[in-house]
Amino acid sequence: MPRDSDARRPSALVDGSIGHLASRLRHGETTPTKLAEAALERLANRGRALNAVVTLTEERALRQAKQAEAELAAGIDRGPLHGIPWGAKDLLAVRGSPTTWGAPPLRDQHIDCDATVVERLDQAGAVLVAKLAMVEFAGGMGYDELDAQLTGPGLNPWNRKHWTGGSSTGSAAAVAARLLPFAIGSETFGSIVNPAAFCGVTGLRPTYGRVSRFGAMALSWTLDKLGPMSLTAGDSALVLQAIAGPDPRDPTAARRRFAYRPAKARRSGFRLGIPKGWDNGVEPEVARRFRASVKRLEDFATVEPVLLPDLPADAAVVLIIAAECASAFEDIIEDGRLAELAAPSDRVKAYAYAALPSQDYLRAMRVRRRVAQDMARLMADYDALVTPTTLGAAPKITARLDRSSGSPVAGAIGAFANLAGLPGISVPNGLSRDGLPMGLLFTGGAWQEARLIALAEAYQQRTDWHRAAPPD
Amino acid sequence: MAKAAKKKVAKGKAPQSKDGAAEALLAAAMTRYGQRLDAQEVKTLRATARQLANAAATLKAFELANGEEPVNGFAVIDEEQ
Repeated sequence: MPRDSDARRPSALVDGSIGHLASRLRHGETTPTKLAEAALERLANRGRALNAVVTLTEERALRQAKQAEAELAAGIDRGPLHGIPWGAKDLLAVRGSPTTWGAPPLRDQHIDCDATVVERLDQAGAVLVAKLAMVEFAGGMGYDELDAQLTGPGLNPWNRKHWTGGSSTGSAAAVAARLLPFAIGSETFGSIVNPAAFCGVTGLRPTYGRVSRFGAMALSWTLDKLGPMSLTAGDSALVLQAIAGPDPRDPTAARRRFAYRPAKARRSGFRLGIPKGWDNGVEPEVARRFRASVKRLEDFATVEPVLLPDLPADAAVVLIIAAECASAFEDIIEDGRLAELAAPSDRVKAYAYAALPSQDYLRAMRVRRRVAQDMARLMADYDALVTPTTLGAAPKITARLDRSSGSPVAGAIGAFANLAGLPGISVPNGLSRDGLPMGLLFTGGAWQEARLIALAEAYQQRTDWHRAAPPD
Repeated sequence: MAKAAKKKVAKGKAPQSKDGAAEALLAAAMTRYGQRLDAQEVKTLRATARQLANAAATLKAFELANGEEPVNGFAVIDEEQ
């Protein structure tokens, strides 16, 4: 039965998985235009209040929604994303809209093209409604302060006194607050899975090279990845299917195609490894929840301890990001625009990056080959490694990131996985005593996203954490 | 003879301590950008240089053979493909 109370209940209208909304569209219970209008309204109000929005792409959204409406009415169905609203992290170029990279000195930057992922989502009939907030330069400048972005600190929908995580701040907040069913984020080192965990959404970091980065800001050419943030693992598969694939404009984009067939997906018999030392630095509450999750996983998987390679992965990733960042943003470092950045620490650190000896970078890249080889050997025996996504729940926005003992935005597996280009999916895994989400991270072998998604879906079929929504 | 012995000793010395590497990195950054920075910012720069030098020292302690190449190799661009 059509539920046309939609217009009076904008908050409920876009609250649902892609599959749910797609079904409603096809049953005449709502329309692409109603979805787009509701999303725009929600983003303009709640989204702005969370500092999650940079630009609303209203004109484009309503035009695309109208087109989707006409096509669906005419029986032209482009698939599950047709007529579904989405948001882009503001490092993706969108013709006609500013692309700020989250940085105050670039607030008026316009890039006259559409990023490949934007084009592919256009082709899938999805409706772009907003450019979403991010940490300036995706955190490449080494921010210590949590308000390091053009639009102010990313406020967590579960508790606005806490941070969203970064650097895909707006993408995570908008999906968590049910302003949008999905968004695109990016990860160099932790920037999808960390905010996904802190905000209680599902974040998929694809294999390096799975998704074209053409039209996306480059922070670290050898580490940057683009991926979906959504409510469920199944939704992340729908989005990845639309955006993955080769692209002559990005030489790192692999020729491999991605397909996920839920009906044929494995639901049990997974072999999982838990890295020894997984609990180093992990807050007790997160550790307790993780142990409980492992018990649940044992219902449909074998779980055993594994040893990560004895290699200095953390040190390597720090130097690679610093050196590539200094090169990617050489113009901004040299011409003094660093001084205009939001975070005081961001105004300084890249000067040290720019002075790094080249042999330090090359040594890191030599160690990285060992990391990639050893991780490939390890992953050949497992469907996934499982860890808490982060050491703790979201910190208060007044906190500073402590980088003295490794990455504050990625757990122990983060450096190994990102150096080796491996995919990972973070799923919601319960709330802390303070009512803040925690995440469970599955890290898979290269090109094994389908297996990871099947595993995450199996977990989500047995848990309800991904259904929990923050107060409106 | 004395010269050769001296050379041998110099060869065996570690080229630079971790602190020395951090100071060298700081000095290089200060030479290029120091005039833009106030005292607090120099403090941040020094801490960053130390962090990078620590990371570099960790990697230097890891033995690599001469033939172990960096992970991203150069590929010839073939216009015919």
